[in-house]
Amino acid sequence: MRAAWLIARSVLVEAVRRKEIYAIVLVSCLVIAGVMSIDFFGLRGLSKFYCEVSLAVMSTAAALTTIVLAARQLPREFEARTIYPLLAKPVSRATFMAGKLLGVMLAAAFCFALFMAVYIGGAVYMGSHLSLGLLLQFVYLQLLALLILATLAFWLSLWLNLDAAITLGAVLYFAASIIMTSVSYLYDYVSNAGKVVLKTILYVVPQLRLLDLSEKVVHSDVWKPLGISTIAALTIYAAVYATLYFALAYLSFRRKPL
Amino acid sequence: MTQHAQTTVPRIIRIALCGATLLFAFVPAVLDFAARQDTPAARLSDFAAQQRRNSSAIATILGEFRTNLSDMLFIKTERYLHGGVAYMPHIDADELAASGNIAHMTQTGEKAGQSDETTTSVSIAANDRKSSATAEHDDHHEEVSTLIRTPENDFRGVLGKLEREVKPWRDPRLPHEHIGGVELLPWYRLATLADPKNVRAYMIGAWWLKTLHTQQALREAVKFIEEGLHHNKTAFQLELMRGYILRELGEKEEAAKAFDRAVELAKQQRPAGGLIGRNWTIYNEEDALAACTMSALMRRELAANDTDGIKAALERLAMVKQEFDNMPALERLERSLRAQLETASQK
Repeated sequence: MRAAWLIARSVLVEAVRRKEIYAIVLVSCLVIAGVMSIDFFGLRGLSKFYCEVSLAVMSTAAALTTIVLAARQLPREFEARTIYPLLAKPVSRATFMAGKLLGVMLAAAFCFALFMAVYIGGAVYMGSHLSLGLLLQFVYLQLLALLILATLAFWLSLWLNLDAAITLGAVLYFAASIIMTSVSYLYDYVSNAGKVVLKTILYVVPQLRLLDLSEKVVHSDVWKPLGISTIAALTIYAAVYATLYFALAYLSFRRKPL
Repeated sequence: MTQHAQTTVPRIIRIALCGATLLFAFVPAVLDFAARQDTPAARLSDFAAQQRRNSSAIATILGEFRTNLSDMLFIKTERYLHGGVAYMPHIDADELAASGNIAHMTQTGEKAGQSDETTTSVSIAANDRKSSATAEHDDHHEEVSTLIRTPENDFRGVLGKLEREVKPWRDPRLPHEHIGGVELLPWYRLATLADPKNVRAYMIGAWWLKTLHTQQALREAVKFIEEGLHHNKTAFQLELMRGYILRELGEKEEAAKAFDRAVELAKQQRPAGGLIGRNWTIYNEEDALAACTMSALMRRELAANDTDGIKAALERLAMVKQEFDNMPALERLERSLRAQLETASQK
């Protein structure tokens, strides 16, 4: 446990020291500021637009950061040969990977915390209606989505090169948001065989759309926080995919010759 | 433990960051350029202009992209009106413009059934088509299904149930709840920046600004409409809306001129007998009627006394009637004005 925590801490410290996270937060804030600098009829307090744009930019930036961060953890250990002295110590591969994953998730949480600080500051300035319950649930579900992406990136990085792993992870992230809607829309127009395929896609590909509460946060003047049973179901849903991808990554890592 | 004395930012991230920074630097210039661009006539009313656009492959691709983006932003406004609930998008753009509060308005957004005579006259047109289009609007809120399936119609099991919990969803059989229109304004602004020929976005955006009833908002509405007119010189609906806003600002002479221009433009576009078709929708006909009505009634508002005003309105109405055949609502307005003139003369 201690070994996993030490590995995680080193990943986090490195991610923070590299200043990439700050750069991504800064660029995201510039993009949001750019959109908000458009003159909307000299009106103030158009907070829903701010919330929508900010949450979309922040979620996307955090997801891409996590994919990049997770995808390069394991290949770099092999490239730099830093994995050999590490595995010579009494640290199992599973512990090593768990530590790496924990570190990536801590870095992702740090990135998301910075975003949320900016978001809440902006929302308060804009006089936006803030529902603390919905906002906390949004952050929690986003972290679950990032956990799925991180484990997926781990797995992809072990059987593809770094660039391909990052690209595929990003493609899956963007596609996942539309797969569910597309399948639902197409279902009535396909044959029985097509229906089976669509249903399979629906359950094989993680539906990250289910972990995105941003629309309810934007319209928090209308919607209430989710019930505890829904949150529990979503947690189990995310845990299933994260465990599956982590297990696949672990199997690939175990078979990888040192 | 893992140690990296010299860590470098991956090339892919460096390129992405440089690209994003460069793109951001060009945002103001691109927006300014887009706003200044002179564009051909309104797409719904000018087929020749449409064909000219379609003759260039690049123009077609870019034009379609801009139009699609603009339409997507327009759909966004519909979701905002329904508190984020995604109802099935309407294919007919006029229906789309008529969703939300527009169900109770004419296309220009002017509310039907208001108490003063001017708007009552406008609503004559609405009453004319009550049995057709307006009735459809009222029913439309009962019928439009949601993008997310209902439990009875969902094949996805637990995933569908979770989606209905996580995303804004409302049983489509329940009446729609419409909320806060002013929050839609940024999306209309973006829709017009993406496609300056999106006449409906100009009209409905201006209407929401008008509902704020402040001098600043009304001035902004006029500016917005004038920008729309710059890009859509033949869009008579924009002149009509400009007239409504100027009238609310108290600039009645300018308002009257705007209504007259709307009549002139509508006259050039309206097919013989006001035949409803692809290029002349029931909404166009209703707006043309509103322009004719307002053009006549503004004469009354501008006159020194009511009797002279009614006479001037009748005079203008007679002229308009000659140019717009098969518009029964104008006959009714004339009868109403004549009755009022008689009453005023007896006093």
